[in-house]
Amino acid sequence: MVNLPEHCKRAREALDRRLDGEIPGDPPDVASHRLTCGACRADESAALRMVLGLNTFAPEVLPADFAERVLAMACVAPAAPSRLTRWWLPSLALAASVMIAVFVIRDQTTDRYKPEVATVPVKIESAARPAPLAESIAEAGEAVAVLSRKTVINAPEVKLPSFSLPTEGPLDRLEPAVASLQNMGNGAVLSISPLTNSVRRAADLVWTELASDTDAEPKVN
Amino acid sequence: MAAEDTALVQHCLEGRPEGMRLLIERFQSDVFGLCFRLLHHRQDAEDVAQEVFVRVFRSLHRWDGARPLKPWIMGITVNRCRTMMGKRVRRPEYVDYLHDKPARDERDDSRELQAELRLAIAQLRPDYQTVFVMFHLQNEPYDVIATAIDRPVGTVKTWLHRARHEVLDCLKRRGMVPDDFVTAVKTADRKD
Repeated sequence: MVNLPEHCKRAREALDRRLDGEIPGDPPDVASHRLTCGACRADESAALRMVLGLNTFAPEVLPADFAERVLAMACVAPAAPSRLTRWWLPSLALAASVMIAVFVIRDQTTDRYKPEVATVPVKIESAARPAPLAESIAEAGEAVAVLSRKTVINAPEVKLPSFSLPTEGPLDRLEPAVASLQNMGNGAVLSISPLTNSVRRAADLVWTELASDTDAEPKVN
Repeated sequence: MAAEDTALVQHCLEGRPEGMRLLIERFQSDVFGLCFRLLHHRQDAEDVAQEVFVRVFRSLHRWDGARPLKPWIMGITVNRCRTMMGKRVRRPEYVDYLHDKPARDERDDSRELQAELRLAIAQLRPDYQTVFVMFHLQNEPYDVIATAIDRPVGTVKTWLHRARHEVLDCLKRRGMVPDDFVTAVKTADRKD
């Protein structure tokens, strides 16, 4: 929006009021301003031109049979159902509910046809018991060492790092963090708590898998 | 007028053809005029005007007898025109005469001015266009326009002023306003 000087703003408002038919002409101060301001005079010229142009728009003449056509259409077109003619709606709803109820009761009381499913004997081959993770890692390390001795002449003896499972559970490591969360504000606890719980559950699962004896039978899906 | 409206509507609700005919004849010029000015196409305007009256007859039982009938009918007209304009968005524009540029005649450029005005009005956004056409071409008062478009009178005034300034700017931009136009008109008035 252009910031107009105060006089021009008043001149524009006066022009709007003239075009709205609220006042017959400019107030004296606006009229004297318009004499000296080219932009406001151009506004007035354009408005006058617009009004003259709009007055030349002739009213559009309708075809003589317009009313007849509308009457014919109105008689053919289905009328909107009034409240009086909608008396059958509750009856329809009642009939629909009765039919639904009959079908539901029938469905529950009658013996329905149940398709028989052929039983196929499935023998699930149990996989070999997986070795514990620590043993697997040790075997892999030895294999790498043997390979390196074969490929590199006079290769030095590879000393495998000792691997052992952690003795304390990840839950214990998480506890201090959880405790520090408790000291934070309610907002922080509420927002982080779901995440912490998820981490705890995930850690619990991993720990159980790692630490448990692998006697369990492999799962078959 | 309200009592007259109520009696007329009552006749229509009773299904009397003479009452229905009277209602059509009373409002057909306003309805068709608005349709034509907003749609810029005679056949479309006729179709929409027919549809408006059919809808009016269908919905007369919902008309609030405490209010005047005309703004209610004009409201239905505005809505039907909007629907038609919405349908046109998906169709190629065939309102070719909006882009016509009649030959400039120095003595009488009223046809050119009309064409420029049509173009300027068609470029307004639909709300402004409706308000401008209803006020300047249909000579409807603010309250009828406000009821028809379901907006407060203040909003109608604001939209009308903005629409008018856009039209004036368009006329100035396209060289339709000679510099000495006001002076020339005033001088001609004094001679008369």
